Amino acid sequence: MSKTLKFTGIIFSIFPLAIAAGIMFVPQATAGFKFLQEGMRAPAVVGKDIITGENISSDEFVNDNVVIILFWATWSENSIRELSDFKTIAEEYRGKPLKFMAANVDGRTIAPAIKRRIEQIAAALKPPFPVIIDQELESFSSFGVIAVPSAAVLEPGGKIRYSSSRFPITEKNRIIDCIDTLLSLKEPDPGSTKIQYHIPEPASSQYYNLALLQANQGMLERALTNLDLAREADSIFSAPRNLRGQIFLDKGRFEEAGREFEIAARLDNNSVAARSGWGRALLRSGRIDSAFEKLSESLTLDSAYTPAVLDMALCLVERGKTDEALGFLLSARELDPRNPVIHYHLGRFYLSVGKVEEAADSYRTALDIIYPAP
Amino acid sequence: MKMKRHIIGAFLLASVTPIFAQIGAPDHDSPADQCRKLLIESAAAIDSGEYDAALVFLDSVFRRDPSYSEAYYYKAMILGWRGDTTAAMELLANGIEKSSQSAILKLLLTRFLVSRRSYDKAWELIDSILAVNPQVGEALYLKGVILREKGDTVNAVKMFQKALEISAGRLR
Repeated sequence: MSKTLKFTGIIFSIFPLAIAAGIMFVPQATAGFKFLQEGMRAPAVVGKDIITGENISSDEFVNDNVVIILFWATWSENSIRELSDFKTIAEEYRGKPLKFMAANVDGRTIAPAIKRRIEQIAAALKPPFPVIIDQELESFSSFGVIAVPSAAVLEPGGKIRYSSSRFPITEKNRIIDCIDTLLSLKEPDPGSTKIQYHIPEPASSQYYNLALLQANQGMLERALTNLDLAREADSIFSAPRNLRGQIFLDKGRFEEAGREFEIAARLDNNSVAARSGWGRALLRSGRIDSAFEKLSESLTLDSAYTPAVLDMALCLVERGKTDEALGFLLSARELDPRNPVIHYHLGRFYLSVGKVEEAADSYRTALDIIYPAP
Repeated sequence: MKMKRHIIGAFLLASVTPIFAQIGAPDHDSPADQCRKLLIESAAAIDSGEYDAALVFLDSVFRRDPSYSEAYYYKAMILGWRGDTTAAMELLANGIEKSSQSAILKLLLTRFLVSRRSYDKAWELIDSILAVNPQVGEALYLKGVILREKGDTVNAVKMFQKALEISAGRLR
């Protein structure tokens, strides 16, 4: 059974429980990235082509082309399917100003066996575009990738026009719609048009991008300063508020984090990241009912937004709803199987219900990811 | 092409003649600096998959400082990747003899021992790491792995929990 079908199975199996828990899943657009949203300029994705050995930067061709960036991993079957789909699209649009780049995000360090697997996949698939390794997961962090595979469609000039995570079966058509619109091959289809978004002031974007870089390098105070400047330059741009919220969360300042996410959610009613972050801040403050409400809203916007799925599980644990909690934990694991946090919480959950063997397996998986074999 | 450059570079650095040695290792560089630079070169070669070139750089490090732990670590990794785990383990044991406090060498040797199911030796080695620093998360994790493999699930869970507590920074 494919991963997609397995995941769909899990989602459907928890659907009645979710309704019972007061959550309605509705069809919706997916939220691609945690730190970048549509309308923002994407940072350059840089790396060495795994086949040719050439150094490639998306900045080299982003001004004159529609660019599609794919974040993929060898362990994700959907990634391989999406790579294959992108190969088909690239061949169909040969000669058009459309470029692809596939960034492998298997891990911060790539062991030779994994590198060989990446090379084998690239050699077997022969995609007509570069396949690079995202060194130190730099682009993964700066985009805020939440699930693999994830894709970003950039309009000429580098602004994100469309983003998606995971690989719903409708994804290929949505991406083709977006490409056709950007290449002026068709009029925008009102039915498939995504949520309207705010295009930030350039100065604000610049401060934000700098802050994001600093935050990823652990320079949190400097990042906060630049986020203040980003906020001053564009008071209705929600991303700086989201990142401030994230930094406050990391610092354990949950009340402040909650306030920032709340403002971000008001500025951008459709921001899954803002509502999910708000929910997490409330959960960490021990305000379980309010957290539940915000996480439900977040999951209504995107039922497969992994951070919200995980936090909903923790919320349900707090409420004593263990069956539902397990459903969400398993969904989170299915969505993001290389996230040690999910395995850790699954281990804690199993231990709390007396399933010691399963707890040991989950804890071990978390640690296998944290301390990979060299 | 790049590989050739590495090999030639390493050859110059490792050369036995004083003139060639000076090309690769300028007078103003201390032996420690030379080793560090060679190690950086070897790491770059490893990143590019040029393991033969990396080994040449590493052998140059050994000639300058036979107790340089990181060089043992990298070389053992390459040997392990190539499937020669016996040679990798011998090299690590040799490296540990020269720098008995090196946790990175001990951890890597532990991994090889665990993969060969030599659990008693691995346990002993982990204890020697924890005796110096009880907060090495990877060592606790490997203890948990051994306990789990031996069927002691309850204590394995306790060990994993300790390892996870220490690694909490990576669990955000």
